[in-house]
Amino acid sequence: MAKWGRKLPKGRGLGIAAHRSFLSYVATVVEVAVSADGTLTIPGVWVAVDAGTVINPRHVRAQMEGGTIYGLSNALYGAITAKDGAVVQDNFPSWRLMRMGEAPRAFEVEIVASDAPPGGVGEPPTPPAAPALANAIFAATGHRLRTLPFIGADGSKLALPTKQSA
Amino acid sequence: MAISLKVNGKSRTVDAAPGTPLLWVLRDHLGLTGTKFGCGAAQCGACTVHVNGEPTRACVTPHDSLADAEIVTIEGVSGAAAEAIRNAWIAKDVPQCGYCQAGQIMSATALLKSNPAPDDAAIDEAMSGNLCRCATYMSIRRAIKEAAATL
Repeated sequence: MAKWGRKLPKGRGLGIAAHRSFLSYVATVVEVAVSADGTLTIPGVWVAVDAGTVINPRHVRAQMEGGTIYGLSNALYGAITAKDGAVVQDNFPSWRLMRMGEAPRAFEVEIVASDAPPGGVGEPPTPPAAPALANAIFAATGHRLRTLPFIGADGSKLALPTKQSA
Repeated sequence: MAISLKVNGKSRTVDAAPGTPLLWVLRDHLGLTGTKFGCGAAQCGACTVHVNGEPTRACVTPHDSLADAEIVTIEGVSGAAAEAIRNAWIAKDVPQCGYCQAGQIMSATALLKSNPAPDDAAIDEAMSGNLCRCATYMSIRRAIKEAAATL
């Protein structure tokens, strides 16, 4: 569905990750576009889910979109730190959440037909979102980012290594 | 000091401390609890109402600055754009937990009133002030486009 392996222009990349939780399997492909200065956009996301017997497919699709975007949001922006016994981030100015303009442009969900016992759909899309994103950034830039979040509450760009330090 | 506010087309007398944000006047003095408190810092958009047709964050707007203004809340929003948005929101099953949705609907309605055929960039511009932790952004974008197509 993501046309894995297709030829992409410079600065674009696909990343994939899969995870099983709450009895459900979710596989996620993220496409990123990263400009030379580290500005990132997400042209597309594709999610395949095997959640066993599905009662309400529209609900499953909504949860796949929401849980994935929440995972992308945390990977990009969502640091939580503690100081003097209290969490520092106490409101939205310091705990950044993905906004409409930063959300993926396209999002496709495929539900695998199954008559197995029903699994969860609320949290399962979240775990594969960050690794799929990180793999896509590697595919697009050649750089492995290993510190979360990739952008942070106040940033606007990926912190890519400069040519000298790479 | 008691002042008169025009809310959803009706004149209402409110006696609140000077500088009390409109949000608390709506919720605590007038019982209009459809408008939500999210952050209190104009960062999330859950408290969005219309003031003279403009989407406005009620949590940071002093009520006593609005003596001559037309204030419209989620309870009173009406007209072709509001109707189209309401129908599209139902058709596309947009809300998940629902907490931010009154603000989302007020921003989306104001957008369609000023721009009946918004493209993605216009939707981003108008809607990026409204956070959704359930991340219903894809559904919101689809619903705004569907609503625009019916106008």
